[in-house]
Order: sequence, then C-alpha cells, then structure tokens
Amino acid sequence: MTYRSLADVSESIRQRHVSPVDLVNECLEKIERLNPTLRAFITVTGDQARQGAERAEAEIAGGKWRGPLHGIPVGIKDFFDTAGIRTTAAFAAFENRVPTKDAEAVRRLREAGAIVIGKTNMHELGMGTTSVISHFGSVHNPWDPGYVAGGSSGGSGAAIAAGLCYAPRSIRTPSARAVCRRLAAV
Amino acid sequence: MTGFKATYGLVSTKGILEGEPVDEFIIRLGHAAFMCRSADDAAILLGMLGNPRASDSKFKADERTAIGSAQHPRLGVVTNFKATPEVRAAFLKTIDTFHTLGYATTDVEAPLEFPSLDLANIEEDRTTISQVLFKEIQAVLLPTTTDVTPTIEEAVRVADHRPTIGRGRDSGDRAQVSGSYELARPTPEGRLIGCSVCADRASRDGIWNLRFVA
Repeated sequence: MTYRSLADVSESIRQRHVSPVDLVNECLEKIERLNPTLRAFITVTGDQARQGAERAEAEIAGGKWRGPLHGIPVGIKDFFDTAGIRTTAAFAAFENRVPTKDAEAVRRLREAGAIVIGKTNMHELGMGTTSVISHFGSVHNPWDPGYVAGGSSGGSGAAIAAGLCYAPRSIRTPSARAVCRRLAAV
Repeated sequence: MTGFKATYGLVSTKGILEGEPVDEFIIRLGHAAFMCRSADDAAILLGMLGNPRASDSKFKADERTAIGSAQHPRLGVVTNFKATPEVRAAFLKTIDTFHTLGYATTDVEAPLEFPSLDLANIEEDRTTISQVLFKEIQAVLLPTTTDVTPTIEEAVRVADHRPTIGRGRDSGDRAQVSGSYELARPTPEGRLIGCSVCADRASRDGIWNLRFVA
C-alpha cells in the first residue's frame, strides 16, 4: 500500500476503503525494518503519528474529510522546524535543538490533515549533495545501499523511494557547492 | 519519483532553523520543495503549499500556478550540457520517450556558464537568463546529473575535500541552470536516471501534462 501514489491512497481514504491508522502503522513498520540500513529518518514520531491517524480516522468517519492530504503520512526534512520535535539539520550541535513553533509549511500540511511521521535525514546543514555527511549517519540508496541517495534531501528521497511515507518535505538550499551537482532526481 | 521545486517564494521557507544564523546566499538561493511519486501528487501538494495564503509569499492570486492544464508546452532540449557518456545515453533515451509521447522538441543552448553567483546581481541575472533561455520555448529538458551515482565510500572521500566554487573534482559540472536532484538509480542500464524540467518563471499557465514513462 505504501508504494501507491498519494492521489490514489487519498481517494481510498476518502471513501473509507483505507484506514489512516493502518497506513501509518504500515509506514512505521517499514521504517523500523528499513531505517537501520537506509538511515532515511533522523527522528521517527511514531506515537504522535498514531494519535494523529486515529484523530484523522475519526474525523473522516464523522464526515469531516479535509482534503487530499487528510490522513496521509508525510516526512519532513529535518531543516523545517517542528514544534516539540527536535530539528537538527543533521548537525551535531543541533542534536537537542527543539523548536517551539512549526515552520509555515509544516503548519499548512498539518492543517490539511497530513500526519507527520518523522524527520528525514539530510546532508549536514544542507551543505552537500550526497547526504553522506550527517551526524546521524550516511543516507543509503534504497535501490542499492552501497550507493548514495543524493542530497541534500537524501533522506527524503530514500523515504519516498522505499515507500516509508508520502511526500517528504524538503528544502533545496543551494549552498556554495550546489553549483557542483552531480547526482540525480526524478 | 517526482520532485517539484517551485518558483522562489511560492512555497514558504519560514521556519527553517528559525533563529539560527544563516548565510545570505542560502536565503537568496534556497527553495522549499517536495518529493512524491507522480505529477498528480505534486499538484496536490502544490495546491496545499503553494498558494498565496502563505504569509511571506510575494505572489498575488492572479499569479498563482494553475493546475491541470493538459496543454503541451514548447520544449527545448539542452545540447551544451556536460555529462558522462552513461548519463548522456540515458538522457537521450528520455528525450526519445518524450517524442514517443507526442511532444515536439527544439534544441537549445543553455547559458550554463552565465550565473556569476554574485548576490548583488542575482535578480538581474535571473531575469536575463530567463529572457535568453525562454525566448522561444516554455520549458527546457536537461539531465539532472553529470555523472552516475557514486558509492557511499566514494562520496565520503569527495566530501572530505570540500571543493570550492569552480574548482576541484566537480569543476565544470554544471549540467543545469536550476532544478535539483535527489535520488538516482545506481546504474543507468539505459533507463531514465533523472531529468530536470525547468520552466520559465513567466509561464504560469499550468503544470503541464508531462508524465514520464520510466
């Protein structure tokens, strides 16, 4: 189910053929199984995501479908502040940095009913294109873990490709090195 | 996978490491973007994240990107990119795929050497590049990579060198004017390994119906 497109799963959720709770649990199970190898996520917010999914399910059952992101598990690049959830940019000095406010884009996603399942790994401070330099370990490519997953949003790419969540947010911050891009995206 | 990078300012970057010191370069060049599994998914996300309700968006409602236009854009294929033979071969196959899907393309030269990365001129440079590049076409196709994906080991070795602009191993590797890349299949095997579509900032008449057969 987690390889299906957002558009497709969203329609199933609206019609109540797919439960957001099941969807979140499936993603969390997959993260638990694959993240030790891929290191796509820095932080996984399992309990909060499960609670969010239960809430979404109840809302939708009560006829309050908020739109196509309602009940969809998303990953947020660890560049974007998340209230109460550490936001590190994969940088050692930010290991315990816990913002009090959500970034604007995160707030919008939550308002739309999306469920934040975790914070995705990245190249330290966005200053590279391979995501091998991260305080939390190099991101590995789900196609073949011997290879890099690109960057700086390598964790987001790996999470999407491996079906760990939908629609990771990512910021592309071309640093001084970004003129030297070498890797690929689709 | 589908990645989408919106025009500067369309998706809010407010709240990225809020309160931490930041380089002016990053503020001027940074984008908020997203990755998903299809063009349809990207349209859903842009609808939620890219509209002018964003408090820090400078875009007015009439400049909002419309979604769902099925119009075929005039596509330019960049001919003066630099890439390894593997990437070149994969890119040419991608262009063939566009042709089999019924798109016509025109060869173009992209001003790849133009960006000076001078903060003082950045807006002017963007305008000039846009005018030159999108004179006859609405979107350009170019490879997202110059080389196939490195191994972790190789990337760690390169990262230790910290190349500066225009120097070091990556010198001259600017395959693209803008756009970004995230994930590649490790070996091209003659398949699509990544293709960027960069659209003119002025072309707001739709997310075109570009669906890759990968």
